[in-house]
Amino acid sequence: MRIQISSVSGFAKLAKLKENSKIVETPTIMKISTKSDTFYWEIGDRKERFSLNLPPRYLSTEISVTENFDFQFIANLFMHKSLSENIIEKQLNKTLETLRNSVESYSKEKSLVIVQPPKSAQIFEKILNELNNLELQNIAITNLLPFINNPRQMIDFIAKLKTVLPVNSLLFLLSPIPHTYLPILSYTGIDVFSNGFANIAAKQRLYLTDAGGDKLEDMNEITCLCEICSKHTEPKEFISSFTESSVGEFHSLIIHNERIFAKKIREIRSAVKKQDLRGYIERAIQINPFSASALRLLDKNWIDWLIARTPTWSTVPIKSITSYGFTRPSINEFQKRVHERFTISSSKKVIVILPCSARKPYSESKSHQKFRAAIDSVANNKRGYIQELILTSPLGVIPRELESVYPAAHYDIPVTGDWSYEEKQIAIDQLVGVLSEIDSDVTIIAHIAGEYIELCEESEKILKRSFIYTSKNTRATTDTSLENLAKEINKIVEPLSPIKFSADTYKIQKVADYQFGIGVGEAMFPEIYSLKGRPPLPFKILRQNQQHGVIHYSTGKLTLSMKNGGILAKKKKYFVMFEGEKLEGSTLFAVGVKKADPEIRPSDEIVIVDKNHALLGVGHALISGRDMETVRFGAVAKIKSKVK
Amino acid sequence: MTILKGILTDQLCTMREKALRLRKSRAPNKAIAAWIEDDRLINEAGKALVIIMNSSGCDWALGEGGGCSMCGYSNDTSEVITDENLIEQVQKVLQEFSDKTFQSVKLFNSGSFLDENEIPIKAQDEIMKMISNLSKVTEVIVETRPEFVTKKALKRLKAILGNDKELELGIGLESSDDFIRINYINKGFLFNDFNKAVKLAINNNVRVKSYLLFKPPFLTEKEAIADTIQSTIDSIKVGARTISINPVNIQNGTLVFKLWRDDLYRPPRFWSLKEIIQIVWQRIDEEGLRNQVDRIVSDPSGAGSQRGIHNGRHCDKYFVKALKKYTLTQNPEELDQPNCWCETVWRELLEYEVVSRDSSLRLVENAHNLLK
Ligand code: SF4
Ligand SMILES: [Zn+2]
Ligand SMILES: [Zn+2]
Repeated sequence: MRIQISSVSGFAKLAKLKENSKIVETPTIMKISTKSDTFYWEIGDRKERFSLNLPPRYLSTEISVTENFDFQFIANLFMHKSLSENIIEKQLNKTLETLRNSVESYSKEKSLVIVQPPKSAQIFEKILNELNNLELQNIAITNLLPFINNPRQMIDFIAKLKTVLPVNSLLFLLSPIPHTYLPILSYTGIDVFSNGFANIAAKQRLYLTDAGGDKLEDMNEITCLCEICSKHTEPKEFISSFTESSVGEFHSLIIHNERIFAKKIREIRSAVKKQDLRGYIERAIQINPFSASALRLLDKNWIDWLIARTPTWSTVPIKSITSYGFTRPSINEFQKRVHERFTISSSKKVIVILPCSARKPYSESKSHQKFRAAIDSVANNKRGYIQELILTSPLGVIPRELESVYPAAHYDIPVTGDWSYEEKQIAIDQLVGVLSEIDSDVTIIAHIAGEYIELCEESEKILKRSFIYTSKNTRATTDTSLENLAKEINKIVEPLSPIKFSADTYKIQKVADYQFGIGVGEAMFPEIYSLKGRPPLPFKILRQNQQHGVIHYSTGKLTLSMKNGGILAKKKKYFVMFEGEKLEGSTLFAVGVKKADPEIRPSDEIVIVDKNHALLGVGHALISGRDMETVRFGAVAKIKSKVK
Repeated sequence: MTILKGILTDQLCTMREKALRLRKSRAPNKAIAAWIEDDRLINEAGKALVIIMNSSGCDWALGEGGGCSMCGYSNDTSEVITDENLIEQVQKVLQEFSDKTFQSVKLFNSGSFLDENEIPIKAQDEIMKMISNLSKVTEVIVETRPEFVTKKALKRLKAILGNDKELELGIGLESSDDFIRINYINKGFLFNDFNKAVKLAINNNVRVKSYLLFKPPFLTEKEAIADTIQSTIDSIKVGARTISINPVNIQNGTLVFKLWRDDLYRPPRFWSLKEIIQIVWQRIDEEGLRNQVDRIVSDPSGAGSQRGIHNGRHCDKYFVKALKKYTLTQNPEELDQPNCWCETVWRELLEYEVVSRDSSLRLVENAHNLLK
C-alpha cells in the first residue's frame, strides 16, 4: 500500500492510496459490505475500493492477519476514559509487546490501530508516541459520539492525532457521524468516514438531505432527484415506496441516504482539489452549529499548525467572506507577516493611507490610478519619500509593494463601507501595528472618506499622533480631494533634498522580505532592478539584461535564482538539509531529509543544502518543514535546479 | 481460596474503598427491604418472600478482589453486624408477613450466605430453623460464591431445613467464559470452581441456580447475547436446574456506572433478552436438555428505566409485562407479542456495534436530534 499526498489544506489532505494498480483517493467513505455472509469494510466511494477486516475485541492478545484484506485492524487499544491510567498503561505495554514481537506478521502501511477519546492528554501523547515508534500511522477512531456536543474536546482530540503523527498517516472514523459533520471533520483531518449513519438514519425513517434530514412522514417535497427519488413526485407515494419495498425494508431509503453521504464526500474532495476547502467549509458550517464553533476553536487553538499546513501561495480567489473567514490561516498569516516582515524604510517621510478598491491588484483600479497620479505629481527625485498603505477588510493594511501577494490580490468582498465591529478592530490593530515604529518627523496623510475615517481616528488615539485628512468631506476620488492630496504631499517633500528611488527594486525587496524574512530583500537585491512583464505572465527581475528571478503575477511569489538560493542558504532560512549521496531527479523524498526549517509551508520556495548548509539546489516545498522531518516516506519537495 | 486477579482488579479496589467510605449507616437489626412477589416456583407459578438482609458485605468486594465491575451491593451493607442482628432482621420480616401466603423464601444478603465471616454459623442455623417452621414454604434460596460451598455447610443447613423443603444455592456464575468472567467482570473464580460447587451441591441434595450477567462491560450487545446463551447451556449441562438471566443495571459507585456516565456503556435492550430466551429454549430442545432444567427466569432490576434493560419509551411498558408473564409461565411465546418499529433500529445498531466497536451508539438512537 502506497500513500501519496497530492496536496494539503489545513489538517486535510488529498491523497492517493495505491496497491496492485488499484487507486482510492481520500478523503473518502468506508461502508459495510458482505461476502458469503460475513461482513467487512469497503474503503472508497468510486468503483475501485479497498477491503478492511472487522475490528478485534478488546484485550485480544493475538494479531490475526490474513491475506484477504487490503487493510487490517491489528489492535484495539483498551483505553476508555473511564479506566484508570494504571490499567490503560499496563494494557498498552502488553499490546505494544505483542505488536513488537509479531512485527513480521503484519505490514505496517496496511495496518490500523483503533483508538478512542483518551483519559488524559498525557496518556494519549504517550500512546501516540509509542505507535509512532512502531511506525504504525494508520489510526481508526471509535467512541467519538460522546463528543458530538463538545466541539472543543472533539477538535483537541483529533488535532492531537494530526500533530503527533506524520502528515501522511491516515485517520479512519468508525463512529457513525452524521453527514453534516463531514466538512468540518475533514478539515480537522479525518481521511476516511464511515457512512454508517446513512443506514442507522434510514432505519429510523429519516430521509437525509444536503443540509440535514427529515422524518419521512414530515416531508412535503422530494428534494432529491437521484434515480430512486425521481421516480416519485408525490411525497405520499414516495413514503409507501420506502416502507413497502420488496428488496427489504428501507432498501431504497438506505440507498438514497448513502448517496447523500457520497455526495458530501465528493464535494469535499473536489474542494480540496480546487484548493478551496477552507472556503467550502466556511459555507458548509452554516448548516451545523457544532461545525461553526469547531472552526472557531481550530482557528483559535491550532492556528500555528493550520498555517503550517496551508499553502502560502495560491491563485484561488477568496469570495464572499463571512466572519469565519477573518481568521483563515492565509489571512492570519498575511497579517502576521505584515507585522513582522514588513518595515517602512527610514527614508520615508510621508505615509499615505488609501481606501481599497474592488479591483485587484489595487493599482489596476480606476480609483488607485487617480491616487497614484496625484502622488506621482511630486518631483521624481522626491518620490522615494512616500509610502502608500491601503486600508481594507479583513486583511487590515496592505503596503503598496505587497498588493500582488496572495491573498491581498485574491479576496473579494462587497465594498459596502458597512464594517462590522470585528472588521474595524482588525483594521485598527493592523494600522496601529504598522505605524507604531514610525519616527515623529514622518507625516501621515489619511486620504480616505466615510467609514474609514472612524478607523483612522481610533488609530490616532492609540498612536497618540495626528493624521492629515485630505478627503474628509468628499469622496477620495473627487478632483478636490485629489488636489488636496497632491498639495499636502508636495508641501512636505518640497523642502527635502532629492533622493534616488527605484519603485521596482523597493517592491522586489519587500516581497523578498515578506517571503523569507526581514533583511533578505536587501541581501538578495542590493542593486537597482526593474520588473518587466505583461500579465498574466510572470514579471522578470532584470538588471542589465540579466535575469535574477521572477515574480509571479498570479500568486505574487518570487522564485529563487541559484545566486539568491546561495544567500538564503547562508542565512539558514527556508532550507531543507539533504541527507544522502547525491541530489538527483526533480523530486526530493522523505528519506533524503535530515532537517528542515519549521517556517517552511507548502508551496514555499526553498533551498536544499548539505549538512554544512552549502547550497545543493532550489525548489519548492510540497509539505511543511515540520512535516518533512516526521514523514518516513513520500515526496516532500520539488527540485527546480541543482548546483552543477 | 486463591484470588484470580483480572485486568480491572486494581481499579475496582480503589473504587470500592471510595464507595465504602460513602456508605450510609443503617439500623443493624432491620432488613434493608422485604416484599412478596409473584414468582416461578420449581414447577409452577407461586409467591415468594424476598428478604434483603443488611449484612457486612461480600468478602470478594471488601477484600483484595475489589468486587465485580457491575456490583454495587456493598453500598447496602454495614460495617458491624452481629449474629443477633442478622437473626433479628429475619425474625422481624417473618413476623411482618406472618399472615401472608408464600411458597418460597429468597434470602439476599449482598454477598454469600455460606460465608461464616458474613453470616456466622449461629445466624445461618437460626435463620434456617425459623424458615423450616413455615409449613407452606417448599423452597428456600440463598446466594453464595462457590468457594464457600462445602460438604459440611450443605449437610448442616439441609439437616435443619428438613427434606420437605428444597434448598437452592444461587451462584453468580455470570458467564461460562473464563476470560469474560475474570477480565470484564472481575469475578475472581473459574468455571471449574462453579462446576465443583454444583457437583457438591447435587451430591447433597441441594439445588443450584446459576445467575448470569447479561451484557458485561466491553462486550458488544451481540457478543453478550451469544455469551448468555452459551452460558445458559453450559450451566444446565453441569447441573444447574434454575437459570436466572440478569441484564446489567447501573449501580452507583461501580465501574459500569462510570462507563455509563461517560456514554461508553448502555444497558441491553429487551429485544436482545427476547432473542436470548427464545434461542435458549430452542437449543435446549435441540440438545435434549429439557429434563435437566426447571426454570429459566429473568426479573431484571430497573427494567424499563435508563439504568436497567430498556428499549425506549415506545415499548418498555409492554416488554416489562411480557417478561413477567414469561417468567411465570415459562412460555417463550409470551415474548412474541410486543411489536415496535424500534426492532429494526435495534438490529441495525447491534450489527453496527460489532463492525465499529463503538460503545456509544446510544447517542444515535434518536438520530433526528443530531440533524437539527
Ligand atoms: S456480584 Fe456477588 S461476588 Fe461480585 S461483588 Fe457483588 S456480591 Fe460480591
Ligand atoms: Zn435520492
Ligand atoms: Zn420500541
